[in-house]
Amino acid sequence: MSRVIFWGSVLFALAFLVIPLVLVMPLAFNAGSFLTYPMDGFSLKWFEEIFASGRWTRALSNSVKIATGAMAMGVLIGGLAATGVMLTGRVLQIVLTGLFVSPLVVPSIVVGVAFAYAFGRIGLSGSYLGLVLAHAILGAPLVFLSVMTSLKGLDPDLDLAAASLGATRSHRFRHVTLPLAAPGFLAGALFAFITSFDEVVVALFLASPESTTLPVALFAGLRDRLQPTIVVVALLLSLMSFALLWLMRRLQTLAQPQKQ
Amino acid sequence: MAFLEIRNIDKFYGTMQALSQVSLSIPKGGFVTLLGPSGSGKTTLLKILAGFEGVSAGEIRHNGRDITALKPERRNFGLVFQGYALFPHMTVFDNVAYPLKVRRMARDEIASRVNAMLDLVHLAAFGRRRPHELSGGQQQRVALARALVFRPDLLLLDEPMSALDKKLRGDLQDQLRDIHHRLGTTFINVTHDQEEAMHMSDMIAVMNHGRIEQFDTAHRLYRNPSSRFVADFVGKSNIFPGTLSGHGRAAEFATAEFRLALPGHAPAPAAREPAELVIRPEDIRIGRADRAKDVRGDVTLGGTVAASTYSGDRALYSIALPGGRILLTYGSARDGALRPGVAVTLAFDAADCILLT
Repeated sequence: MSRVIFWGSVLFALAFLVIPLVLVMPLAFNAGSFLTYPMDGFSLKWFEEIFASGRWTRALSNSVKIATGAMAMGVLIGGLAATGVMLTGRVLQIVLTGLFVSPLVVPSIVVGVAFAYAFGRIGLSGSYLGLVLAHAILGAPLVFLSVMTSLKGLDPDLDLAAASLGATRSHRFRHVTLPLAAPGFLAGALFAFITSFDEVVVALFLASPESTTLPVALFAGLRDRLQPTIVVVALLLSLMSFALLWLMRRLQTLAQPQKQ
Repeated sequence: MAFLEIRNIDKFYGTMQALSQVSLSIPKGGFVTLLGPSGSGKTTLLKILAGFEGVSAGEIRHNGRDITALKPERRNFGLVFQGYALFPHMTVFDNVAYPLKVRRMARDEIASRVNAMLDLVHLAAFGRRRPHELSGGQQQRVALARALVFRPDLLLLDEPMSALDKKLRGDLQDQLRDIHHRLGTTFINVTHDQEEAMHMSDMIAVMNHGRIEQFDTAHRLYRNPSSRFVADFVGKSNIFPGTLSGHGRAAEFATAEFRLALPGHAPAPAAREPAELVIRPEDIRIGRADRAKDVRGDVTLGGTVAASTYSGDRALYSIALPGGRILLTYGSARDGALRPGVAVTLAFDAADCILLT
C-alpha cells in the first residue's frame, strides 16, 4: 500500500512539474509563428533569429556579465561573512546568521523598490554596477549558508593542529581552512550565479534598455510578441540550468574523498 | 629551575571548576603521564599546556619564561591529537612537512627531515598516500611524525592510543618509548589507562576531580599511594576500612576481621582515628583450608572462593570472607584454578600493607 502511495505521489509531482515544460518545449522548433499546437512543421529558424537579433544576444551578454559580477561579489561578501561569523561566540553567531540571511526573506518587490529608489538618488539606476550590487546582495546569503555548512563540517581539531604546528591564523586559513571549505565556496558561487541569472523582479526595477537582462527581455517578449523565440530562450536557459546542476553534482562528488 | 613549571593553576568553566591548584614540575627529557578517569581535568590541563585554553589563575613557566598567555603557534610544542587531526587534503609527506613549511625552511632541508622522520616511524614508503588511505595505527604514527619533525621543546599526547586495538596499542607503546629514548624530547602523555601509564612513563601524575592526587614514579604510586583514590585507581587493591590506635609504642590497625600491629608504618596516634589498610592481591598468599599449615603470615583469614579467573600463568581469585567482604588475590595455577565454594586460608604480612590515614 505504501508503495502505491509513494509512486502515486512521485508521478503526480513529476507530472505537475514536468508536463508544462515538456508541452512547451517542442514549440521552439515550430515552423509557424504562433505558440499553438498543432505545429506547422519542424524548423530551426527561431534559433537563427535569436542569435541574429541584437536584442537577445545583448540581453544574454548582459545577464552573463551581471551574473558573473554578482557571483564574484557575492562570494566575497558571503564567504567573508561566513568565515567571520564562525569565529564569534554562540549567541552572536545566531544573531549575525539571521542578519546575513535576511535578504532571502525580504520580498524581492520590496528589495527592488528600495534599490530603485536608493540607486536613483546616487545615479546608479540602470547601470551595470547597480544591478551587480543588487544581485550580489541577493546571492550573498546563499554563499554564506553554503560556506557556513562546509566550515561547520570541518573538524575543529585541524585548525588547532595547524596552530600547534606553528601556523599563524592567516596561514591556517589559507592552507587548511580554505582548501577544505572550497566545495562550499564553489557551490555558493554557482548558487549566486544562477540566482542572478534567473532574477526578474529586481532587474525589472533597475535595468535600463541597455542593461536589460535575459529574464527581463523574456518577460517583455511575453507581453509584446508571443513568438516561439521566447520558448527557444526558455529552452536554452533550462539547458544551462541542467548543465550547472550537473556541474554542482560533479563538484560534490569530487569533494567527497577529501572527507574521511 | 625545572624545565616546565606549572604553578597553582585554577580553571573554571562558568561555575564548574575543572582544575584546582594544579602544580607540577616537569624535568627536561622526562616522560610524564597525566593519568585519571574521565572528568579528572587531565585533558583540560593538556589543552592549557598546548595554549588552546586560558587559565583562571596560576602560571606556566618554560625554562623560567612565563608562557601562560602565549599563543599556541608561538610555543613550539608538538601535539598528537586523540583523533590525529591529519590534514585530509594533503599527502602524508605534506602533512609532516607542514610545520617546516610554516617555518620557511629550505626545500631540501624539509625533504631530508621529513624522510628521516618517516623512517623513524616506519612509514618511509607511505609519503605519497593520503591520510584516509592509511590504517588507524599508521595515521597515529603520521601524527606523531608531524608533531616531532620540527623538534619541539615538548611533545603533548592526548590519549593517543584510545582508538587502537589492544595488540597495536602495545606495539605503539614500545615504539613511543623507543622514540622518546632516541630523541630525548620531553613527553607529556594523557591517558585513563593505568597500564599504559606504567608501561611508558618515568613519572605519573594521578589526577582526580581537577586536582593532582600524587605525582611520582610508577613504583612509588603502586607501593606508596598517598590516597585511597590512588591506591584504588592504580592497580588492583584490597582496602580495609578501620581505625588506628596506639597500642604500646606501635600503631595498631583494627578492622572487622582482624587487628594488626604496624611497627614502622606510622607513629602511634594519641587517640583512635579512622584509617584504611591496603593490601595488593599479589601480597596475599592463598592455600586450601585443609592444608592451612603451609599458609602463614602476620594475618591469617579463612574464606571461600567466590569466583576465579584462570589466565594460564596464574589465577585471580575473589575470596569471600565470613563477614561478606570480598578480597582479590592471585594464586598459582599449576594444577588449575580452585573451584568456587572451596574453603581457603589467606595470609599476609604487616610489612606488605599500606596504611592510609
